[in-house]
Amino acid sequence: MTAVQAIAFDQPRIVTAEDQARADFYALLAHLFSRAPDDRVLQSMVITQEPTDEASVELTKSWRALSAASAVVTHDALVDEYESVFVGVGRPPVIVYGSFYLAGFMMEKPLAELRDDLAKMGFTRNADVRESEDHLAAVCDVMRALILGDLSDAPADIESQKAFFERHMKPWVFKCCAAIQVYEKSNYYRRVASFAEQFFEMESQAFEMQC
Amino acid sequence: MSEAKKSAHMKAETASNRRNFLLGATLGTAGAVAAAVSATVAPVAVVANASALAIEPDVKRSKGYHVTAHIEQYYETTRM
Repeated sequence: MTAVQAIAFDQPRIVTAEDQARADFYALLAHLFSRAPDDRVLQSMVITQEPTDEASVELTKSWRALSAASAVVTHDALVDEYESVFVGVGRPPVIVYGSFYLAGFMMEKPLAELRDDLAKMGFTRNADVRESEDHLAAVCDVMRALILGDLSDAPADIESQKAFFERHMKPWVFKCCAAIQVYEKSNYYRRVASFAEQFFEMESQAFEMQC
Repeated sequence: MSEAKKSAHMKAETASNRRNFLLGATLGTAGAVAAAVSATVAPVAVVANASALAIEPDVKRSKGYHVTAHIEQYYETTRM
């Protein structure tokens, strides 16, 4: 018998209420950028209790606007809008892939770098999904998984979350959100992008303060 | 107020704003956006856990050529 033995305990996954909320918002954004939300998701976004005025003004304002739009829009209308903004005929009117904003073209070196980092973290591409890993929905989903600790029994530490955000999101997500907001056929998605922009800004500031 | 104190005050205010939004917004929505999205919609799964995929059994893998009673019976019919 050795002097020291490794004993494995089943550690409960501890996620704070704030981090759970962060993960939920990343999940929501991942969903909204991957497809038109159905009526059930839209209803879940309708505010029944006003957020406190002590929260960040711009963030709260953008969330209220998105919530108000979710109360009146229908899934069918959003299917059309999603198609016209992110799919289009031929080249998508608004591109939501990081490689495009970082290298000027899709499927470029930034995608390869992202794939390398994802592999190091234990992620691999889901074969059932068409979109490449630098899709805005995908990187939001990675953040959600890191916060909740999908790859292990514990959430990823804040440094790992920051490293992923700063390397693979911060350099381009704001440009992407701006592109969605200025596109003439964006209506509901203008509000989604406005909220996403504010949310990412909040994340960026928080990482700067915490690390 | 000194610069250091100003900076600390701003940091505390930003953290407080963030906490208020995160906790306030999720509580203030019908059915809680968290429950609707996290439980049934997310993850988008553009990416997946590599180790989980690695241990997935490949049930479709062929066993390759092997002699069965049926094949042996066929061979018997071809003898001259």
